[in-house]
Amino acid sequence: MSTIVMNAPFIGVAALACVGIYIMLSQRNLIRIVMGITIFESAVNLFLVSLGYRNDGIAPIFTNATGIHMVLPVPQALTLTSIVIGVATTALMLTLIVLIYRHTGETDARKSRRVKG
Amino acid sequence: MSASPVLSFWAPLMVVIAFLIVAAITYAYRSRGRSSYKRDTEQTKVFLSGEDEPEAGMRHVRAHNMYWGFFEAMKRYYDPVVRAHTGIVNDYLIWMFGLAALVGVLLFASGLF
Amino acid sequence: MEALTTHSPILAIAVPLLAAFLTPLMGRIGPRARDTFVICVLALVQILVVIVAREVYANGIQIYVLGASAPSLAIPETHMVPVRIILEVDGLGAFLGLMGATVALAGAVYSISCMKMETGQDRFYTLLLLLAASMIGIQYTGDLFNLFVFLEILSISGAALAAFRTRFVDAVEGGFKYVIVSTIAALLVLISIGMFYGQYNLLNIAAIADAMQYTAIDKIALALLVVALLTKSGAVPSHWWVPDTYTPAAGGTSPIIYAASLTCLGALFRVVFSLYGLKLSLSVIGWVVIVAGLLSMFIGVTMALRQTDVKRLMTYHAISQEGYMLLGVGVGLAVLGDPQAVAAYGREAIAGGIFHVINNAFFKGLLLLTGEALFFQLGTRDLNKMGGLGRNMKWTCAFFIIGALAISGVPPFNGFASKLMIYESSFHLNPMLTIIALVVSIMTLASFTKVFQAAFTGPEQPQFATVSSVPLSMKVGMGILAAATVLFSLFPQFVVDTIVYPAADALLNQTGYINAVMGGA
Repeated sequence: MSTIVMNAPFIGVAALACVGIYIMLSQRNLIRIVMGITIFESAVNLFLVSLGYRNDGIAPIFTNATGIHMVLPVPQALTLTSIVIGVATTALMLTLIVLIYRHTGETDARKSRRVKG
Repeated sequence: MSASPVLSFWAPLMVVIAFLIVAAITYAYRSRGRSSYKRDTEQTKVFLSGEDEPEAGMRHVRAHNMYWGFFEAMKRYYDPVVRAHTGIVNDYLIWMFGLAALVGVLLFASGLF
Repeated sequence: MEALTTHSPILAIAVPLLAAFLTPLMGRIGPRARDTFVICVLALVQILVVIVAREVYANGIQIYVLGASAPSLAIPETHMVPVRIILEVDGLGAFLGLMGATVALAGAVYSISCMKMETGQDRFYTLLLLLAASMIGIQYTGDLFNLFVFLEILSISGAALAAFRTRFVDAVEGGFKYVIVSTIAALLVLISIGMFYGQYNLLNIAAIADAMQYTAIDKIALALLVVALLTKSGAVPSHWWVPDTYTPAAGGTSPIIYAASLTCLGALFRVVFSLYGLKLSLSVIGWVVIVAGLLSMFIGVTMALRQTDVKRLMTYHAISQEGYMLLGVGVGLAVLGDPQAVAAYGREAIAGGIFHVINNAFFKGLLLLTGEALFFQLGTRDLNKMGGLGRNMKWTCAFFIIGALAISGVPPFNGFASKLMIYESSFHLNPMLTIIALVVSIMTLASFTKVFQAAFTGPEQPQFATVSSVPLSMKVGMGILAAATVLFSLFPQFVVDTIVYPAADALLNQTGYINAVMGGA
């Protein structure tokens, strides 16, 4: 039981990742594909943050710290970077979807493609 | 360790020099010419058994006509491959995750033997 | 001068990065000021890259620690492992830097005329400089998370450049597909970085290589990294995005986006050789790379034969030539555990694959620029509508001939030299590999004969009577790459001994890579 409690974040990561991948691979609407990518990104960010956790660790801030046993700060920095990158790429993807819609009037991945082969 | 000796055998400078020598000989030979040849007369027009020359657009062989025989012969290879190039984003991602799963399975399977 | 040499690795990344954000300011002054600024910055980057390369070839692996009191203090006194971001330039990094800087300069010079009529040119040059900075960043870095960040910068700027001419629907679609595929690939890289950090508490490539124990989690990370980087470099079976993205790329940026993909291929070599080295299952990953190479070669060239769009045909050839690089390096990887085989043909195979990388960047870049020149002058990329252009566009035709002969592996060009090294060495592993490579070479020549016949030869078409030769800066841009191709063709022995064998040795020498950071013991 405690194993499940200890590993709950990682189970959450796996669940989110599966949901995200399923949406990415099966949905035809372009905006839903972007949603799937966002969910997958959240899974990866959760994975990074969960890696840094140490049992009974406090937040890694030295000012007014109640003890010396802290969670690892490096994964938190990695996650912040990843979130910001995710925002930028999501903005770019959504802009391109708007442009595709303006050109073709479709947001379906099958119907809006103009190049193949 | 020095590089492979093959590259020095095919030394490009030798090939270029040989090419230039042969080109010079050919040019000297061809420039001697033929006294019965006159430019810009009836002699230089295209001969099609007396027919008129078709206009330029009709004379040029277009790109989609080339290698037709090759495509017909390889039809059984080309049909599935061209159909696989769908242009749909989901298919791109399916291939990527499928490949990741395949490589993972291969790595773990090889560790067992 | 001493300071410039010491700081040159970080300057080669920082200068284009800073200049990218100064470009809109220069654009306020005037278009000519901005164009001059961009060209000067890229020329400066070229000089810096040459300085770095000279240092590396003279003095071995160069490291540069960001934020330390001295650039060579990799491990701080209170720790046992490197904790800062470290740039580690070895033979492979220097080699790729030379490739990236030259192609970026040629592409930017070409774009000056090509993009004259477009709006938003400030943003175009900003994106171009960002792409160049991120390329050099991936080539020089010794830190995995830094690699991820530069990979993302590369994806975003590459996608924006591909979709730049938003009035074309295929451009927008190409950019969209690129950003989707790149984001997923980068997320797979991030997952594997997380796995490494969770196990070893390290982000530095050399440090992780030192501590690597090849657990089950490391195997998963290896699978994810290999697939993500194969996708980013455009190898079959993840090559679907390549033609859609390179074809509509604006101005002279198709070669630069291609050089960025080659950089991702270099990152793959870095991960497989320097991060994992002999610990991984060589037969599996080696043969995965070889099979990916064979599939890329064959499917790339057979799909290219069918195309009627000039640039799309050339991008399928880009996939095909990447197959050669994967084949060469894969052969070297498969025999990595056997020192006799490595000395006999493995080192030459890796060198052939790496030599093909820079050759390809030059002649494939040149061909993509000639394809874009045809589009610029005619307004169409459809080969069915072209004909007889050899009369009107003499320079483009000449550059095309140089590029087409080089890519087909016709002596005396550099394509022949690198392909010969690959044929010679892969023959020892399995003769079938060489046979497939030779057949693909012949088909490459066939498809370029098709382009030459359809576009440049033939009777003079009346609708093209007013088509003239391309503007000067486009000729200069193509000329830079053509001159590089011809230079490499005339002196392949010198090039291989100076640039390529150090890169191959750097890949084979994982211990040296680790010791440069960890201090040797």
